[in-house]
Amino acid sequence: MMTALLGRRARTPAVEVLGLGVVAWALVAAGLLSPAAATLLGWLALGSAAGYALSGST
Amino acid sequence: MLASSVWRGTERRWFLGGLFLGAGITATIAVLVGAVVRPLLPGPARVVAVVLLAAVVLPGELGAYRLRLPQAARQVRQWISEEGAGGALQFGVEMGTGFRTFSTSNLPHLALVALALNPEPAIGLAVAAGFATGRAMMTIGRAGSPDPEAWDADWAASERRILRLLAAAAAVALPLALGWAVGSAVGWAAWLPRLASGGG
Repeated sequence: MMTALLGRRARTPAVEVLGLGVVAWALVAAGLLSPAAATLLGWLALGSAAGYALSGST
Repeated sequence: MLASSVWRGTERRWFLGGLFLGAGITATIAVLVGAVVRPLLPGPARVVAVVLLAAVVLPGELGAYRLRLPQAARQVRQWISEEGAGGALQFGVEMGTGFRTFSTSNLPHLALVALALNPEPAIGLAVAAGFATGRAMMTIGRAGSPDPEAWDADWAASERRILRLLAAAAAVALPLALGWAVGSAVGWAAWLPRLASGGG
């Protein structure tokens, strides 16, 4: 299931991290996310982007 | 790929657990160092510093110029992954810290400095969980691929595009993340709720 979520393409997780940020903003705009939850999602997405960016490192 | 040899069942779980432990260690140190530095910089200055760093890092990630920030540039000894669960755990911890690699991206620098300038335990937990998850995505995605070698080739062929996507993700996430610092400085009621209601 996790593999299906991540997809078979290397770029899929990057799209998903971007999607996480966009969804978080949409939830904020809709008033469905508390400020604390929104900021923590922001930090989570920032950390995920940083972590996945190292995938091609040696 | 650095972690290519750690893909077997139990050992992979130890490796993935190690990623979270390693990321937690780095985040804890960043929070502790940041707590020492915090009294020297007022809240707005810390936010400005993160924004300025992002303004330098993100265009580089998008390909506007070549930027190479300082890094440890040391690899994990790959043979430790052949030492069973303990080796896999150690491999994961070292990779999870983010300091045992030759990095091709400056996004980890941005995340680390942003955390150190906003040293809250909850933020550290979120960044560590995100960083480890990001590193685990490669492990899980590659292991789940019917052709892991092709997955590696796909990453190499898509690297520029992936780094641009991740830079865009960081650009989207950073204002949300900094809401914590801004909110702490001006009060929550003055920021996100107004944004949510369209008041700007």
